Formats: sequence, C-alpha cells, structure tokens
Amino acid sequence: MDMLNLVESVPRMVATEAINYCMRALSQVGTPIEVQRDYFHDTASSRPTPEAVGLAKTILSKIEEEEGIDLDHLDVRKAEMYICELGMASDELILRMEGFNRERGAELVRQLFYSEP
Amino acid sequence: MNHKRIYYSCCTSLSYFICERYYGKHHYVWCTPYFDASSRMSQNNCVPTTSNPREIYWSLRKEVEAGDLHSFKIFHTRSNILLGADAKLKAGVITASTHNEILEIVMLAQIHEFKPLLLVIPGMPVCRLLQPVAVSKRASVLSEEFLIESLPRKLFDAIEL
Repeated sequence: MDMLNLVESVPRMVATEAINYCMRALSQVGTPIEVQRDYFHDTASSRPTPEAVGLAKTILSKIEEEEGIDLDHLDVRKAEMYICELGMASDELILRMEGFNRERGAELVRQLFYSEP
Repeated sequence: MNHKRIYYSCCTSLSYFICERYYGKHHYVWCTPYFDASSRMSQNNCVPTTSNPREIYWSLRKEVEAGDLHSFKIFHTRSNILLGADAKLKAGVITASTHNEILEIVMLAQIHEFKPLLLVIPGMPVCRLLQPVAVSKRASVLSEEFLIESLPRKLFDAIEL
C-alpha cells in the first residue's frame, strides 16, 4: 500500500496528526478490547481535527481492505509493518518541507545532547 | 485501584531534552500508578502491556541497543514528538522557527538519542494535573492510566536504569 500517496495531498500537519492516530490504533492490535485507549482522544478534552480523523479512518479502512480482515484481527507483525510504512511516509513529508536543513538539524542534535547547558 | 500515590512513566531522552530546551521544562506525560503493572507484586489492575512503564522502558532499550532506527517503536515515538511540536506551534507556545528546529532534530536524531528514561512522579504535587486517559468506546472504565499535559521538571525524577 502506498501510504505516501494517501497522505501527501493534505496539509503536512493534518497528515502528521492522521498518521499518529493510525499508529495508535495499530499499536493496540493484540491488546484486549477492555483496556484499549481511544486513539483519537488522549483525554476527554482532546480536540482532534475532523480532517485528520477522516484521513485516519480512510487509512485504517484501506488497511482492513488490503488485509481482508478487521483491525482487531490483524496480525501484530502486520500492524508493526504498517506503522513503519506510515513512519516512512511521515518522514518523507517532513523532508520535503521548505527550508528543511539536515546540516542544521545535525548540529542542533549535537547541541541538545552534548553541549553544556 | 492503587492508592500509594506514586506514578511512573517512560519517555525517550530525545523527547525529554526537547521539552527541557523548547517547552519551558514542561513535559507531556502518560503515567500509571505501577512501575510494573504485570508483576505479581502489583495489585490487580487493568493496565495493558502497551502502557506498562517497565515494559515500555525495556522494549525501547532493546530497540536502541539493536540499533534499528527504522523499528516501529522508533517511528511511533518520532510521530508522537512531531505531533507534540505541531500542537505547541498551534497553541503559540513556540514560534515557527523553533518548530522547524524541533522537526529537524527529530529527523536527524540517531538511535541512541531514543534511549528511554523512567520518570518517577510523586502523586501529591500533581494530583490536580492528572487527567484520566480516554479509553476506547468498547473499553472498560477501570483504566488506571493518566495524562499530565504540562508536568514541570521539578515535580519528577528522571532515571536511567
């Protein structure tokens, strides 16, 4: 499944939000239903954007369609594979951002972890 | 229900240092009142393995030691940090320039920068900050998971095991 194709037509922040909801749903595959978190809301006061919720539902239904099985019955390894595919699509969207600077990023990481405060 | 009033959480070094530098030393923390909810030493509880701090810590540590920057746990962790940065930008906590810096850091961070940290949070000072985590419509209401959206650094210990 081409995850990038599914998410690249929406604004980057909507895509990031939708991808995160899908990852939350997929990371709970195999977890008993009684203790599953709501993957659109962290708390009762969370306000997910309708666009991201819609896109996340589309992606999850495409996965179910592709696998011919509902999410609850998906193999855990398959779920992990889809999380990786979504992660790679997310990476691509960030790397495409105007002004994204790898050299500056590497220097900022060095400063964040290895410089004296 | 556990009444000992100590909460435990697990985060990555990357998210910890981003909160320290860019979010005014305030941390977004999922926590439970058990370090190891599945241990026979813990009271009966409904904390799933995926939310068990001990399980999260050691599984993440294993990923880091395996050196796999493309594991599903690392992808999910990065996604959480990206989502957090977007939320901080929308809320006006950070500028667009700072937001770009955070995104660059997340993308350029190497595997060892995802090392886990265990957070130990005394309950009394945070009792008003704890929000119950929303559960699935099909889930029971027995969850003992909580979220603290803005936990000041002075209110917890961060430990490397």
